Amino acid sequence: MITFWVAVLALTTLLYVILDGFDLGVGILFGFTRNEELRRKMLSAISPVWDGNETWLIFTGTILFGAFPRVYATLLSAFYLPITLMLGALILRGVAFEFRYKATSTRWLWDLGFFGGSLIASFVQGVAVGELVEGLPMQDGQYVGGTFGWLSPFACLCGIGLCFGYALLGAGWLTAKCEGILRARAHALLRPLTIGVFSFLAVAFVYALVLDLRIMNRWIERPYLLIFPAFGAVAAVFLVRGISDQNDGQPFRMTALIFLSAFGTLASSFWPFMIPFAVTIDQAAAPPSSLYFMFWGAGLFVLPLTLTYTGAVYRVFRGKIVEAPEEY
Amino acid sequence: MVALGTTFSAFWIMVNNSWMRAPVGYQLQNGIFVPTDWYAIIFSPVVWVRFPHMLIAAYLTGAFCVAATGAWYRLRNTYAVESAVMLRMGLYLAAIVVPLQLFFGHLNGDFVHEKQLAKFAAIEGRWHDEQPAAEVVIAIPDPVSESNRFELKIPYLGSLIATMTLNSKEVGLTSFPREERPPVLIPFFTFRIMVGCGLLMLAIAWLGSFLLFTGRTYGQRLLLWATFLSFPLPFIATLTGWFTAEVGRQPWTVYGLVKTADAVTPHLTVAATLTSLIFFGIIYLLIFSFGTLFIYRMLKAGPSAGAAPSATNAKRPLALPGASPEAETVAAGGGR
Repeated sequence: MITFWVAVLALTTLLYVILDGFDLGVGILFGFTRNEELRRKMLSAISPVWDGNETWLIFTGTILFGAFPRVYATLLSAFYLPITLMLGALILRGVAFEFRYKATSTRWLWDLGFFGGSLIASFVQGVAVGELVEGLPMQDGQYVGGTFGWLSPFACLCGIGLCFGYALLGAGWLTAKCEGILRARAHALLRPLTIGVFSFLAVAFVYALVLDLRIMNRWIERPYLLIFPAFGAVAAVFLVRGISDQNDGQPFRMTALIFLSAFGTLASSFWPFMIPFAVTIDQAAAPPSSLYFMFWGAGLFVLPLTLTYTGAVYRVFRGKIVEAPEEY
Repeated sequence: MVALGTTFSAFWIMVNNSWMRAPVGYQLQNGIFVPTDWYAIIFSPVVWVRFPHMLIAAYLTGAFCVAATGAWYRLRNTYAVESAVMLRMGLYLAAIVVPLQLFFGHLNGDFVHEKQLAKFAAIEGRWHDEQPAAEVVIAIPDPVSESNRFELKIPYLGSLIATMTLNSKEVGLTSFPREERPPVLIPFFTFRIMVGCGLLMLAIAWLGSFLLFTGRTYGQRLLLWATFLSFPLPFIATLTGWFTAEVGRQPWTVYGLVKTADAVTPHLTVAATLTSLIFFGIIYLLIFSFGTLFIYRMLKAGPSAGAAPSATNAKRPLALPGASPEAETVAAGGGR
């Protein structure tokens, strides 16, 4: 039963990162144009799916809460302020979809909220991942870092890196979903963003070597881990080729694969820990009766239902977005 | 789907919250609560009193928002057809549901009387054991002198409300050690505000339905104004109800087992908590005040505006142009 929930957790986290990743990325890119028509199209490209995408964050949180309460408690306590900030950012970003069209004189405020909210949420998620990689200050399974124990140069570097990564996903999505000027502008951004992401990865890798992070030993202990970065490298080659070929769908798919391999790399170097070198999966798991109870409800019904729904939404809204009349 | 989802969400929130008030179906293993009997947890009588109470509160909120908007249109002499439907639906629903709500409220009181004696005493403003017990209608409780000032009391009523007899002995706050008493002032007043809102809603719903049903027009305008101005009542009642429940159960997080002070994250500082509180306060103030403004504009524009081109994005299925804002209010109430 623990294995089942770990697998589900991995799936929901991955889905969240890729799906909300691109719409957060579109939010970041949104801040770099002042053109109202482009902004409207950017929103149209993600508005049918963004709230469904964020459902996966809730799902991930719920599984942590129900199946791995110790990790849930530790992470939420350790990242108290950043998670508060992220929630606020996601709220502002969410209401912006509705409010900006209702607002008359305050549209700038909601646009700022949409851009800023997307940026902050991405940054915080990157910081959290970076801090987990670097190693949270833990003692006997308890977080001991205090209010700002999560703040470190390495974590901030990862925060910036993830903003680039999400922006790349977002640009890939816009290239796939849009036409005309917007597609051209998004496509032009793909190359610099790719360079940005890979320079970040290189810097983070060297930095991790300099810091002599304990997690780096995993690569020596488990050479088979290299399969994930190798997979990512192949995806990167196809990404660059897709960009040169002016292929619409390939950049997004390849970026998603890069995220998949990054996720695989991290997950398998953490294993069997959920919070590296402090809390293992078995230690974190809820009592069997809770796991079984969740299985009969969330596992057997809610998960397939949500997956089906996600699939259906993407099917209904597949293809290029239709050019909407100016005032619809 | 939206209705089902929010109802499920409300249900599980209430299961969780009710368990914290009246823990059942668990075992303590090495200081961790391990659920052993899910049947007992889900079908705990407490859940089935508190869940309907919350659900009805959400429906009432919807009913009053619809009725208030209808009354507003009627007062402005616009949308005669729509406003008639809105008034009828809102007020008839409320006329049936408010008494039901008061009944569930009473059952809720029974559960508090049975499981959370200290909270019950705080709500009643009862400092000393009494037999037969009187009911404090209104007063200013003073925790320092452990007595009430400016007290208005009705003898025997306290026993009657608590046990349906005239002679039961009811426990006072001084029977509990000071560190196990909840703060008195907040539950005492929030409870009275909640009940007051409930009674006002009952009066409006019944009078309004009576006028609608008999077709009388005497005092109609006054009642329309009252209905129009009544839309905050269910919100206030829901919020004060939660204040009563949550403050009244202090100092416990899991009633009788874990104190709030022991449940708090060890390294959490007051500054960090205060920061997050102020931060959320600002965000909610911002989005709720603008949200209210936008809903007001939509309502003012009226139902026909929904058919006209609106700026809402048609590719966003969850926000149909002109979709009724009342439905959103119900959803917000249900998820709380």
